[in-house]
Amino acid sequence: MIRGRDRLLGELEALYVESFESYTRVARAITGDQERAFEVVQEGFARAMAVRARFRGESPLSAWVWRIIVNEARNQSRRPRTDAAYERAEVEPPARPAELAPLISALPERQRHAIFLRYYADLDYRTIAAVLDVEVGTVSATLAAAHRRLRTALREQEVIAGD
Amino acid sequence: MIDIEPMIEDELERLAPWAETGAADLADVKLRASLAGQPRSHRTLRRMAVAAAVALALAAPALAFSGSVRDLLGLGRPKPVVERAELLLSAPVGNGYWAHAFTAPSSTGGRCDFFMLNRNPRVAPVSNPNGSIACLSVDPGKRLTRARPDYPLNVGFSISRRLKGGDPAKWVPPRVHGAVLPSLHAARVEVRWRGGSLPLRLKDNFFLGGSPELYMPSFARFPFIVVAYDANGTKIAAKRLDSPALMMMNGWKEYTPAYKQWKRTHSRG
Repeated sequence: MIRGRDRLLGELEALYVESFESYTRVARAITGDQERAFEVVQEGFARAMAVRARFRGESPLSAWVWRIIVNEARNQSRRPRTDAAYERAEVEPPARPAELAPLISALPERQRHAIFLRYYADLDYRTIAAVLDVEVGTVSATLAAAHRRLRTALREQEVIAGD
Repeated sequence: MIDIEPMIEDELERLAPWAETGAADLADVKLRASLAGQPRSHRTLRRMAVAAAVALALAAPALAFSGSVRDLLGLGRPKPVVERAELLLSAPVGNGYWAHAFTAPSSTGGRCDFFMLNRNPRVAPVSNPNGSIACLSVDPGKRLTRARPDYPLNVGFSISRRLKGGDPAKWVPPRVHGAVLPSLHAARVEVRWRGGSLPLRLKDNFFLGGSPELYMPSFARFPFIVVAYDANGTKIAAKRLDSPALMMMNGWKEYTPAYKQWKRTHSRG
């Protein structure tokens, strides 16, 4: 049992080293804050290591960690920021105005998280389903609904811009 | 019909670029994990003490924790079996120093990448590492410094100590190392910044180099970007060096106001 837990610890370490950036990007997308994202990933992995005995192996280890991280990020994003003055430096100005950003942030939570997990973390539908605790078909439907909403919103924007 | 997927990808990349995710810190995670069962007040106190120690020790990617810092933090760790170390690459890093990168099995059955720093361009007998060490507890076949298809350029930045204090002649300049995805067939890697560049040595898709130019550079020279080229000189991968780490700052929270202040001052002129 101890051996298995040690092996799991090694796998968690390897996962952290390999995928730190993916986890941080998704956490940042959910929390909207780089520092919070770092906290989320650190706390998430620490929690995963501390409670690794609870991992049952029913889904891939990475999906189990993703679920912890997404939940932690969701909790963090609901807490008020203590440092309202924090703002990321723009060393290089954005290449173009953000059109999609407000539309993505207006999506329902599940659609938003599915988008982040799909495009930032490059997870397949099955893993996303394990992370969000839904059926694979629901992931597909959720992403399709998100795409539809974004397309519609963009079309409306174009119409307004064209007027 | 609007093709929404590429737009989403573009937008997400713009909102959170790969290059700005900050530095991983496995030691911090392990410390948090070890404190997970303790009362909050104890956790906070211990973490504050550790944070102070870390802040004094380095402002570089924390995977590059020096052995002494990790020992200070009481983080039991796998150690490289130096007798079985293999040289990856040696490179000059300025101020007369050389960095030698090694990989070796770890004492716990995993693998470590580590550095030796000295004034000898040739590798002396490998002794205890005096540069950064990064280890995995298990899986000897897995290298820490490696690239992946979705992460084609893996870049690490490390510095032993600040220049102020001590003998400047014994100061080792900052180092950059990393790996390029083999399928990209990188022929050359360099660090580029506004007004300059630094070629890095490249061997078997692993690169290494360093320079005093990377130590607390002026804001006017940002951003610092590691760029890999193929044999035709075409850019095949790029990644920005962590700006706060270059400035020996603890994160964006410290970097941002300093940069804004600098920008305000310089926009007036």
